[in-house]
Amino acid sequence: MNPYDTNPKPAEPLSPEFSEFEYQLRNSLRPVDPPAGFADRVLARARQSEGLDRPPKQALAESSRPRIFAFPGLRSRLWAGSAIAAMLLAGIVTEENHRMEQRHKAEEAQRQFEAALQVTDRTLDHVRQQLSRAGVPFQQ
Amino acid sequence: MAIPETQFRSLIQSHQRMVFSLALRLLGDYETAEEVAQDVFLELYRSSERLESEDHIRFWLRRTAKHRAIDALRRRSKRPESLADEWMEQDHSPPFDPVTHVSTEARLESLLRTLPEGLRAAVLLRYQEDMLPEEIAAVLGQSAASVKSQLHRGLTLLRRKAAVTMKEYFREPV
Repeated sequence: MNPYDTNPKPAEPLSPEFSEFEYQLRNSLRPVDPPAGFADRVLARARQSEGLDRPPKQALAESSRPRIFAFPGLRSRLWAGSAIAAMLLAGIVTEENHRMEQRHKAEEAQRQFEAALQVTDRTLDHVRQQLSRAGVPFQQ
Repeated sequence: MAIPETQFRSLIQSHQRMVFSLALRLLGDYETAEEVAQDVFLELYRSSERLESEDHIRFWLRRTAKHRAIDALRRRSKRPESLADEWMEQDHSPPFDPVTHVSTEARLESLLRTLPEGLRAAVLLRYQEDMLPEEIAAVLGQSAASVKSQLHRGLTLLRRKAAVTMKEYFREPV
């Protein structure tokens, strides 16, 4: 039986055991109408999905936009990729700064050490001269 | 549009009762049923070129409506807050006298919603759509034997529930 026929014929019962109950059930499950304006709402959504409802300028602007931004998943992945790249770059720059600072410190320490050696050399020369003037034998 | 608007409108008007009723009885609420029914027709609109005949369209609509309604049921069951919302919306006041306030048909329809979704779909296709077990099997992607067993279990369960909650109308067979 087609329940949408205007003059339906009763369907065969599943089994004699259920026939009366089946009859009641079939009565309970008659098809019902959707809320008024259903077809119009579906058509409006179909038109919208094709972009026919949008003003031409907006449709043009959207079509000229890079296709990549039409996919939210891809967009978020792009953002995540950019963030990781930025973090890596920041890490590299920080590491390079740290290395340069260490190099400056080492050069400064080297300069101070050389200066200290020069002072010590001059002091030793001075002591050596005084000792030789005083006639004290001095062995290196 | 993929098919002319007049043709699409005519397809909607021919099948809207079937699609909406299937969604409504599988889901149990008007709002979600309309949303699901709209989605089914939009899918039809996109797939219309692949559908060959009126029978093919009817078969496709029944199967897609069932799938989308079950998807919606599962989405809803995964959202605990929706269950809380539903509970808040339900009437928890003492029940009215059912004999005077609710028809037998409405009570049987609400009993149907208490069946597990597989049994519910089989019973619905059988008694709303008047489909044969073999046709139901094709829509549900199961064997005819499995559908017959589901129908028998569904009817037994429904009649048992009706015997408990609607004593004045149904008695369980002895």
